[in-house]
Amino acid sequence: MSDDPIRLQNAQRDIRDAYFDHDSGLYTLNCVPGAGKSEVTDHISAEDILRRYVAGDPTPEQRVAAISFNRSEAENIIPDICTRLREIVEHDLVPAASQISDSEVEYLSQRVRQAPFVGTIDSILRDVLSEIASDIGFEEMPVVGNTARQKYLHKACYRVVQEDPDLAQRVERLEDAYPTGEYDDDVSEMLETAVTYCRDRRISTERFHYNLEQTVEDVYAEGRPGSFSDVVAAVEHCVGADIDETVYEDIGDDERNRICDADSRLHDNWRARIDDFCTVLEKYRSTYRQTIRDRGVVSHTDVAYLIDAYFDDRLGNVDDAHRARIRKRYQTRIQSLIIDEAQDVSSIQHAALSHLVTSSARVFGAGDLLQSVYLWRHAEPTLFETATDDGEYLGIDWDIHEHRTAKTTYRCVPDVASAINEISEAALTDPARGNLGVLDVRYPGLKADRDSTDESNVHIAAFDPIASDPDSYAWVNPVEGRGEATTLATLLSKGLADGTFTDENDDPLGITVLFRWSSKMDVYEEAFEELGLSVRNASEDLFGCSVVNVVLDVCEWLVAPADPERTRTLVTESNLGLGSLADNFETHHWNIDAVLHDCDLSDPHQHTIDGLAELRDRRDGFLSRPAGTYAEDIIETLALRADPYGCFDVDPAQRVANLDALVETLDEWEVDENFTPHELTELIGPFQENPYMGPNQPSTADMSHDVEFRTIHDAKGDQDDVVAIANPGFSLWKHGPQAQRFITQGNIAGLAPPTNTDTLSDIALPPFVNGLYDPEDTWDRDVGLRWATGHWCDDVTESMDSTSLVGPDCLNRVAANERAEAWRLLYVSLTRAKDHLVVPLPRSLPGEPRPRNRWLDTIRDGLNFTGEQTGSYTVDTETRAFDIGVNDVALRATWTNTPTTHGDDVAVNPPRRTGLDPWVPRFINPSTMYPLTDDPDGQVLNHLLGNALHTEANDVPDDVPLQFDRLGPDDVGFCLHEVLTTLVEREVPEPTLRSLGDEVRRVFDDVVDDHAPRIDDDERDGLFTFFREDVLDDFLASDLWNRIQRAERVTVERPIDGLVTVDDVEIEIHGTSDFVVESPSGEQYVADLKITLTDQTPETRRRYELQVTAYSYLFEQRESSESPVKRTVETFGVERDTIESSWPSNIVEQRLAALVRQ
Amino acid sequence: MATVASLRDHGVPTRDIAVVVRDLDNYEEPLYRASVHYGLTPVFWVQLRVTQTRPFALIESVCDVLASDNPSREVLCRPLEHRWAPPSATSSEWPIDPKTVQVSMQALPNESRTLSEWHDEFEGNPEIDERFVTYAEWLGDCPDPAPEAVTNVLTDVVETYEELGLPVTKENDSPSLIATERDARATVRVKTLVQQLRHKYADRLDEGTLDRSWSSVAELSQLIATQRPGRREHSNARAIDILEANDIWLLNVPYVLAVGLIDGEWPQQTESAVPPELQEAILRGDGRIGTLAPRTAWTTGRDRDQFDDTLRAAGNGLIVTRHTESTSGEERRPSPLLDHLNTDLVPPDERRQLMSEERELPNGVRAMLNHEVTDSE
Repeated sequence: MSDDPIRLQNAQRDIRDAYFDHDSGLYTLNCVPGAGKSEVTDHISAEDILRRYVAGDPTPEQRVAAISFNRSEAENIIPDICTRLREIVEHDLVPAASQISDSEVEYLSQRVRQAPFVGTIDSILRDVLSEIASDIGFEEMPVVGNTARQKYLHKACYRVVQEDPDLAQRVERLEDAYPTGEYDDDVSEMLETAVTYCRDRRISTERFHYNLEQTVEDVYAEGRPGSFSDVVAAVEHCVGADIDETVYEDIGDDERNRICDADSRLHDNWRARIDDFCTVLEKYRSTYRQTIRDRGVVSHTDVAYLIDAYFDDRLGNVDDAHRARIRKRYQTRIQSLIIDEAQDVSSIQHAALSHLVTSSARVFGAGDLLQSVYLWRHAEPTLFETATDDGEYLGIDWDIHEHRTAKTTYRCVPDVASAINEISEAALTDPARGNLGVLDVRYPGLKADRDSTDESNVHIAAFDPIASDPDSYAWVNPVEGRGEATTLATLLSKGLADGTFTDENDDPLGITVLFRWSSKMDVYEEAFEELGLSVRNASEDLFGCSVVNVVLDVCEWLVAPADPERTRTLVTESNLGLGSLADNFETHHWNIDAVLHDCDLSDPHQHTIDGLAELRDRRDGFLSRPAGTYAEDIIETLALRADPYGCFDVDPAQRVANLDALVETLDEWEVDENFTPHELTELIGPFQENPYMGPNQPSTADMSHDVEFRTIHDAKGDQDDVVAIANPGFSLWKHGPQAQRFITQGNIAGLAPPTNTDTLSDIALPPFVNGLYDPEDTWDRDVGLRWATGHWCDDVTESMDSTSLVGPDCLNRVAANERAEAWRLLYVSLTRAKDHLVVPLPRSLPGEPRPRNRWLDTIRDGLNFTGEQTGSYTVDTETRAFDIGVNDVALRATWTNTPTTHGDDVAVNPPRRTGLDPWVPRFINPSTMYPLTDDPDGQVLNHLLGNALHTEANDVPDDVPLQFDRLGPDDVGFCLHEVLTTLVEREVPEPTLRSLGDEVRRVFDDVVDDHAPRIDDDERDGLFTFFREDVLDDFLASDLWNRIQRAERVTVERPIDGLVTVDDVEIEIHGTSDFVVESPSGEQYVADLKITLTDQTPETRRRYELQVTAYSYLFEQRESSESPVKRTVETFGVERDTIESSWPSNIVEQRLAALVRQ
Repeated sequence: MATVASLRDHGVPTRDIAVVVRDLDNYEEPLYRASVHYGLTPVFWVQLRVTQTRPFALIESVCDVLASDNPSREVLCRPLEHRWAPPSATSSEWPIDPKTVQVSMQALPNESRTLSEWHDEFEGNPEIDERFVTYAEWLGDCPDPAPEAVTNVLTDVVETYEELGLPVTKENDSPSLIATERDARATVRVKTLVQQLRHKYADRLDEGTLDRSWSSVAELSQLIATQRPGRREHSNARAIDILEANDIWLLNVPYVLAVGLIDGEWPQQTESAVPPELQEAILRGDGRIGTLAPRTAWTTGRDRDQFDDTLRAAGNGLIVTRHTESTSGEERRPSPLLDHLNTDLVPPDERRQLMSEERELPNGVRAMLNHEVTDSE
């Protein structure tokens, strides 16, 4: 534990004081990055729990809910609260600290580990759902947030609407209007999004329909066009100015009419498709409502929606008393609610949470509106804004409301803070950039608490680009010359080598390179590795990996491996490496056995096809076992981890990690169900088509990597010593609303016009590049007049202000919010840096600067970089000056890092299944030792099944007077053996035995009844006669009986155990001796009893001899058996015999050794 | 398992090694695969998941066919895939090999039909193996699902499997007979299950909680089978013992490997219907409430005790493993149980060496072996 604990300061301390000064109220803290937001939430949580405990509550963790939006942060809340709790007490940081002992701190820490309301908002809401699931129509608690199962469920819902005859035409029209495209949502995806949106906004389909219509009306603000001039008016409306109509001079009257007609048609078709969409959606939603219950699968949004609807009494048919009880339980429990990253809470989460809290609770919300970057995931930062500004939150207008803003950052050094301020203040407060959207942006400015350093903390990796788009591969990593990635890699590697990026011990600092998108990571990685930097990158798609897809391809083939078409697909389309055999397969009708048999195959082909044949033969096991398990079978059988023939161009460690991740993913997706190969193929289909929807490949770099690549969203909430911003030259309008078919943002919903209306897209309609509407061209700034655009008004007309976008108002609001968020994202990325901030910047820019459209230009402006500076230069600001280094590393320095060898055995050698040591019995019984050691292969199944192990025996002679109707020979033996031992055990006196008194018959009947209750009287009597004449009489005449009569003590069925170790293999012998007779002289006599129905064979005799010898061996092993032990096997029945083995005891070890060494 | 393999390389006998985890549910499969990778036969001291075995799949699939009026091609043929054979069959002809079953299936129309229609199809379609007709006839002769009839039918099915299906498993198995042992255990378990089924099915029919149908039989079989009782003896003297922590009590094993010492995994809180406030009050035993007995699962005490047992069981050395991050890169913290344990950390280089093709025991573990030699000297 640190000797110097964090002590809350300034705004941190103020808000904490205000929080504990009251018993209820709303407390909000707006924090700049690095202001210790999490430290404050951890402290308040820990102190709250501590205070409650000191006040006499033995389970204080039940009263405090501490939640975060971010999953990885949420996982740390409990350990962090525990750590803070210990710090508070150890350093006596608050008055309550002095009132508890160390053991009480440990007790409290253990209690905190059980805290029910600490985690993500989703996890808390899941807890609530578990209480109400059965009340709202679920059979049991549904599976929550399982992406694959949700996809599968949506697919099923879509099938229902597709197959509904009343909707078939509408669905068909929609599919024609919105065909599947590589980057476009298809109808099924739009319906899926619509359900989520409606649930998130808590709106009916009718209301949703209204919202879509509103967008149409906004786009056609002048109504359905009646003439070309109406179209021109629409253009003017979109650009916000009069248009110089001379630009349309080339358009003749006829074309003008055609344009007007096309526009009217587009208008009508658009509205008709919206009508279709909403009619289909209505059915889709009702199907979805039922299917989530039938299948027990829900999304996180569903959970929040259901909770809100349940408490809001919108679900109907629920038990009111139960609902009141549940509500009260949560409201009573949650007396403190602490929310981190409050700006990321969505509307529906907020609604659901509001049912769990009353105005008598204390609510603490910490967040930063400038770090709101999850609009696309339906985050609603305005909720936190209203909380901080107006004291309204969770549906309560709080009487007590305290708000503070923490401007001091404890994260970065002053120069980095200054650089961030220079870049961000201008960008975020600019009405054309960060302040373009609905959020009211106030830039507090970072005030660094850390001391300045002597070195440069802000670095530019300056390069001379080749003339190209700053978002192109030619710019980032050109074939010739140095691009952005190489220059950045050079700066970082040389900086590591010359000490710029090392600490006082010369240990490398942590370096994170942040990306807006993951699409350029591969070229960056290539450039970095060329300069000797090891990269940790966990952003590639798991389902984009060839070896992973091979497993899935084989699964798909195993749906029907005898189907020639499936085999053809596997051979020709999978990466299994069989493509070159396509002709052979074709010749052999895609029959793998025929190819195996007839073709001269190379080793890799032989191995793969053998594996496929084996998997085909084991297919039945795949029908009843989890997909994760049979995926492992495929991986093992085809030796995919080791890839002995080098079939896959995937790094060995990555190959192993990806296959591990695949199995884990399948396990997670299946939960408790088993998917057959057919079901798995359906489930996984969407993810194979769109790998980005699935999980990422795990990172294989261990802690020794030099650089980590992350997306900014992924890094939010984290920090690193050195942070570099990669690929800052992308255009902000890229992927903007003009490229989207379906828009759902806040109150705005928009379905793009249908793509199959003839809109005369070849006729330009300046300033629109794509005329009326041409959705094919999503790489331009507009797709025509009738949808959103990425144009600025002042770029297309001369007189307009520079803060307005071209397009209809509602779609402009969407674009504006997205752009504003992009600038907040830049702020998030810059503020991850602690010691050094690094940006790659070109010395010169192609064309005019475009600071509104690219981070690159804004960063250049903020850092006053002209391209001419070298070495270092100073930037003067209103408050202070700071230095910026330009390629300020030793040119000759070379970074070498010991490469991590990934020669893991698992990546080199296939599993050693065939090399497993042969089976050897672990437990053995003296009575079955002979057959098992004599013929282990023949007897092993019976041994494993617990069946009798027979040795070769004669047939039962015909003169044996037994019927064998109900009782077979084994049963007869068992019963008579049992009768005899029971009689001895009960010490039935000899006269009674000889006279066959009642007790003898009673014992006999009991045993037989137990074993064969339905035996008839004749068979029973016949058996009794046999017992009397052929067993009992001989028994009473035997030496054994004589000994029993004279014995000091007789033990019946006594366990005798022992151990034989051969080499290092231990075999346990567990026997039960029928009789152990101790004479008054101390002599022991051990006898085993056999009821025989046949004459002995040499085999049975040997079996008995070995049994006797085994008992002898066991007794010799026992320390206590100092006096001699006499051993026999006594047979009664058809043959009377006493078998005393002459075999030496060590024969037991020899036979077992032979078994082990076979 | 690389450590276990290395210990074996150094001559440590199989029985001197035990691998212990808190809960084998999530560890059985990966430890099984890892064991096989390193050429070790594992044995897991947990009850068999009988629902994932072939004998169970066989009886369940038979019920499914008989329950369906119009079985699909897949449902119809599934028992054959699971090695169904007629009760009077001989091993030379039955079960039908998988390739033949699949080729015949492929030759069948992909649709649903009645059993009698399928029978006609089998007879009339020359591409179908003729044994399919025997199968269809057997299906046609199956009685209505009265309790005794159900038992007789399913007993025949599983006994024939024992006779003819199990030897196929053995024939295809590795020398260590891992699959055979599992299949044999499952066969024994399913035979018992079929006997239990008769009584439970009859009871449910009497109670009126089940209707008389083959689908009810299948449903009930699932229910009984998922209760997972059954014997746990394991038969291979060469197999490495892998146990749950609650089974390590009183054992004495020289080298114990405790796996999965992750915060949140070991120890783990068990859910309880009793409110935490009441649990705590009962645990504290203040006043009259002190007469109530607490459940050990209310605290993590049981897990702690089991970890203590694990420590105590280790005669020469305890090797503790934990992962530091999840597959998706999230940090995994060490178990608090490790807080008070004085451990030597295996350095990354030695860990890599252990995992590499030239497997080498880490120095700390090697020292345990040397220590033992010194002791014995």
